[in-house]
Amino acid sequence: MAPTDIEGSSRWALDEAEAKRLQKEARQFKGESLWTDARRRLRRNRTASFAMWFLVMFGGTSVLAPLLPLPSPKALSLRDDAAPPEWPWAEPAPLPKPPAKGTAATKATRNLWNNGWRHRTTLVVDAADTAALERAASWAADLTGRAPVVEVHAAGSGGLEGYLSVPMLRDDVPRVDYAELSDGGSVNTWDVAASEGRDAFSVISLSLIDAEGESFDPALVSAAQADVRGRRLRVLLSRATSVEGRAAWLVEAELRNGLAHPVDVILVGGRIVSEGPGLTDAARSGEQSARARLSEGIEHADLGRRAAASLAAAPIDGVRYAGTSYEDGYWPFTGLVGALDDLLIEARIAIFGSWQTGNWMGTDSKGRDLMSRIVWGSRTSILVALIASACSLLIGVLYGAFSGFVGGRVDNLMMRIVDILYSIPFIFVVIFLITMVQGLAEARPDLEIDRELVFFLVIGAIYWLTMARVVRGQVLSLKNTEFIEAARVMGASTLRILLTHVVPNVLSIVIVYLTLTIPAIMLFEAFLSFLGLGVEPPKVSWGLLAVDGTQVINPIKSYWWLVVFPALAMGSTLLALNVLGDGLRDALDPKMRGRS
Amino acid sequence: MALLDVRNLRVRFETHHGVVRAVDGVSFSLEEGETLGLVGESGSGKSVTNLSLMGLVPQPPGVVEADALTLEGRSILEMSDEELRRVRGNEVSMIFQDPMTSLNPLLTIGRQLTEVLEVHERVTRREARRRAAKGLDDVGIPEPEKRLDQYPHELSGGMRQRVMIAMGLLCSPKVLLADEPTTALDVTIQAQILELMKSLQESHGTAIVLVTHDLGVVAGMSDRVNVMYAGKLVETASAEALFESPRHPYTAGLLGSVPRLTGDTGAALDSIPGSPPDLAALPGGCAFRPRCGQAIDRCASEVPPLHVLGSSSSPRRTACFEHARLGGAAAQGGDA
Repeated sequence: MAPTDIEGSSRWALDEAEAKRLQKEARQFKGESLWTDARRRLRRNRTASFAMWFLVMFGGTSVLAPLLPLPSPKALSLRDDAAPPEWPWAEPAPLPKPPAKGTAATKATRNLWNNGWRHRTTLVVDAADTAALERAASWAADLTGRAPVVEVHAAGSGGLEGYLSVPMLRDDVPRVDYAELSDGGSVNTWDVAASEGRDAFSVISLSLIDAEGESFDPALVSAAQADVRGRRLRVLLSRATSVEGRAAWLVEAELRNGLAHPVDVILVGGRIVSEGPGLTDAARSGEQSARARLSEGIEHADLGRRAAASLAAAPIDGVRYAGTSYEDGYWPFTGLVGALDDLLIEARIAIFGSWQTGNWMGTDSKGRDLMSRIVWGSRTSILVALIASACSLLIGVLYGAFSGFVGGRVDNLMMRIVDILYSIPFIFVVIFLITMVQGLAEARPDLEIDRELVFFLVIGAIYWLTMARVVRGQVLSLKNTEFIEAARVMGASTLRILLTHVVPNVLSIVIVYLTLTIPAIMLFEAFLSFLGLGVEPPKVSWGLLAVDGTQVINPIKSYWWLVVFPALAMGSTLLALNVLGDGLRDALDPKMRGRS
Repeated sequence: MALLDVRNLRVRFETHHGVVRAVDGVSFSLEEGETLGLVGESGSGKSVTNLSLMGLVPQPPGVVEADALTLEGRSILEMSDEELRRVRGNEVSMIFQDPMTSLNPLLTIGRQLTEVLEVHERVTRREARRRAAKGLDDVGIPEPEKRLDQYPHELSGGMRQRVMIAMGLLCSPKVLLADEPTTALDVTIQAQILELMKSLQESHGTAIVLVTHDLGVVAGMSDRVNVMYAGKLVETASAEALFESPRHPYTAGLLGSVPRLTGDTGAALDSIPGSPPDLAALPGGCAFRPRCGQAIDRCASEVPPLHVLGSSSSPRRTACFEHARLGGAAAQGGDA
């Protein structure tokens, strides 16, 4: 180091001042992009920013639906009439006690305790007192790793009846032992927990590859049967695809003769083909519940078995295990939304416990909470709007921009295709596509076609036509403007011209058009669901809410809440979207700068 | 060697209605610091000539051919797209007729000016901005820093044309093609812009090709003038010689239709009878013959070649068989 460098303190001070000056200069140099400018102007437009806030709030509410302490949107109750809205501070109607076990009404009434969580196993215990119940709760927490929500009811014998509801995550759901058979088929074995006075029993599900039933070898079933953890096999289920085309009695005979141990009931494709001598009512009800779970893809019963075993091994003072029941609170979403929902449910339990809102907006004729249905229904409607408009945006903008920019014969051809598609009535296209997809989904269940996602995509695939025309027209008029020519003269490449000159000029119009397309898509979805082509019950969307509303129109009694609240939700969302679109158009136009 | 050398440039468009020969055998050359005027009616091929100098004639339907089309000895016709992009805006740049539409309404002035530098030179944003401000200052825009953050619609027409000129000159090009730069402006602004271009030409040493149908602008600006009609050069001369004695009936007609401050100001203006021909269906022989008062039989059958006239120090050429007769007649103002 040269000695001059050591006495550098003054030089440093100088540099700092210099740096400050440069920084200040740099700040002044900051230009304003179109987007920051637009955001500022949108914020200043009060109506539009209010509309935006409303949409964000509404969208947020429906996305966060599992977090909110709402009743289950699909829980039926045995009402014979729709209940009017009640004030939040009104005393909620007392929940009726569950009737005697095992009757037909049991299932429906139990739903009154269903508070909208996803899959939930409730351990029912009889406890001597509150302290015993607390011990039971901590036992359940140890057993499951999740804090149960405890509900207490007085039991007839003077003790307490505790419901320890443990929320299950999606990962908990399938607890199925899986065995591969030697020649390609497979056997699933799972246990149905002891519940409601029933013994635990096992279920075997067969899935055999050969459609003609050639490989339907009872010996294979026997082989699988031998490995059911020492339990008595009482129900045999066979999935529909395996033995179609063969007489039921033949299958039955083969099974009976081939099996090493007799079974109580044999189900083929969901139908009972044989009832053994040992079939009791309890087993039949167990079979029904197993079948229901099988059809819903929920094959979970592990917790009950573990709970019973744990209590048998280490009894807790004053606690008697009374059974397990399983309920699913709402239809499950898959993928990212499902994972998010699991988190939200955990949060809901941590925040609200078992508390939930009353019927603030009334119920529909099946006793389902209307407010909850509106929130969950807008979830569907917003999802369809987002997916379908993203789909139409992608296809429409690419198609239109390409067509417009290339021009000439290609443009002519592409636009004639759009014209042809335009002339086909949408509704027929949708019916056709959805029918096709449904047929395919039934023929090939292994493809796991999400019918709803297809429905969303079909709507998007229809709405791109207008978008393509709008974009093409814009690009066409832009292509011939002098500033594009000027950019070319300046030496800019085609890509650069597209990105810096064409796209921003088109985007503002695309965004505005999009805010008008989204309401149209929402209405179209409602229309199709109304016709029964879209979302299927028990899932709910705005269209289905409208169906519920029209079904109760009669001159004798007015069910105004079934029409007013869904219409309010839908109308205000559409209005907000239109207002926002108008505001965006102003905000994205620099000529409005400084005027609003 | 000339900066820009154009020999026998031919541009045709193959359309549904037949082949349109927009430019047919145009030759000229341009030296450094020189101003060349290109004069003619609408549709006479001035703008297409300009576009082909930039390699911007859309192909297809256009077809550009030339014996030579060179910029400093490099052939523009043989350049790749990449090379052409490097030339555009950097060595040859262009100013458009309508400043109202030739700026992107969504981008700030600064963004559009710095884009030129971003495309052609590796400069930092700060440096680009400084130079853009300097460019605006050069073309006489007050508070250039403030203007950089404004949008085109916030400036007047004259201001915008200044911005366009600044944009054209930002990379110090060797050739500036001005395509009717003052047509969309009012007269006082026109004068300012022309004055500005002249002074910038002196300071930058830029050669200018001035396309216009305004003879007054040509007279004030140009060193030499090319007169075009129906895609062909019909007369080329130094500005002075041309205005003094036009040797082609079309030039004479153009000059005759300029209003004058002397003489009878109430008299009706002279005009050239008829209208410009359809380029897809040109008459045989001289294209101007149907509108020409001086036509002779020969004009209908033969296309007049460019006759070389004048001295070697101020060469002039004209495509008229009757140029000798015109030399005397046009001195009085020409009333073809």
